Amino acid sequence: MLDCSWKKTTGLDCPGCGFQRSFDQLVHGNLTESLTLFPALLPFLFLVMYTMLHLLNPRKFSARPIVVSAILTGVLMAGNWIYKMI
Amino acid sequence: MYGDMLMTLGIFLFIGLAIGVLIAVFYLKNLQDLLKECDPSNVQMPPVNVWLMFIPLFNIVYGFIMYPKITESIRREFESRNAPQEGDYLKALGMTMPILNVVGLVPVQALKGIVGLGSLVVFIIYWVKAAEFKNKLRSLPKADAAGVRFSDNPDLLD
Repeated sequence: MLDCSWKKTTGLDCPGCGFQRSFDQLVHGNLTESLTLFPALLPFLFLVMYTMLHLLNPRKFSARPIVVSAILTGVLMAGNWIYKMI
Repeated sequence: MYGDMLMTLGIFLFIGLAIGVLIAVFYLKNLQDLLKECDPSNVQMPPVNVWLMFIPLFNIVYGFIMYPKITESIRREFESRNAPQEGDYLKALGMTMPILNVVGLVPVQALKGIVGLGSLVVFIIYWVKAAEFKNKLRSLPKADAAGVRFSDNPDLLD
């Protein structure tokens, strides 16, 4: 797994810390563990995949789900980060 | 004591991150405005798509798609207004940024420092040059559908 430069420098988690471990748990079928490590993983994966579909076919795949999932991902990332810091 | 230090550091990081997001918003808004100055027939991507650069990881790949399209859009726009510019319309600078982003993924700390500094310099230059192109386009008269520039001189009008 890739090191986090932020954590290496400051000793504190960055907003994306836990992403790789969460993805690893998801791949191994441990959904609960995955969501605990990084709650924004599922909306983030949806965001990336849907955005690719939107770029390939903007007429069929509207932009609204991108906005919704981006906001959800951002809120979950920020919320999880603040929760971990406190 | 140690907890207080961590809390202070955390607050500073949070403020730093918020400032970083704000800078990114202004940068992307500038790119969006630049594309909005281009005629829809010349623009190679919807201006709103610049905001996709906010998606982590995805933006590493999308940079390779977006920057060449911005270059092509402004090149076509200037040519359609019969005002071609010198240079490559930010092509080299635009490609340097995503390349540096990829190089920055290499897990070597010393390399990350150099790449980070280089990225910052290229980012600022790109921003300034894009703003210059935007202002130039705003000052130039728009081309009509056939790519002919309207004259500002009333004496030449029928």
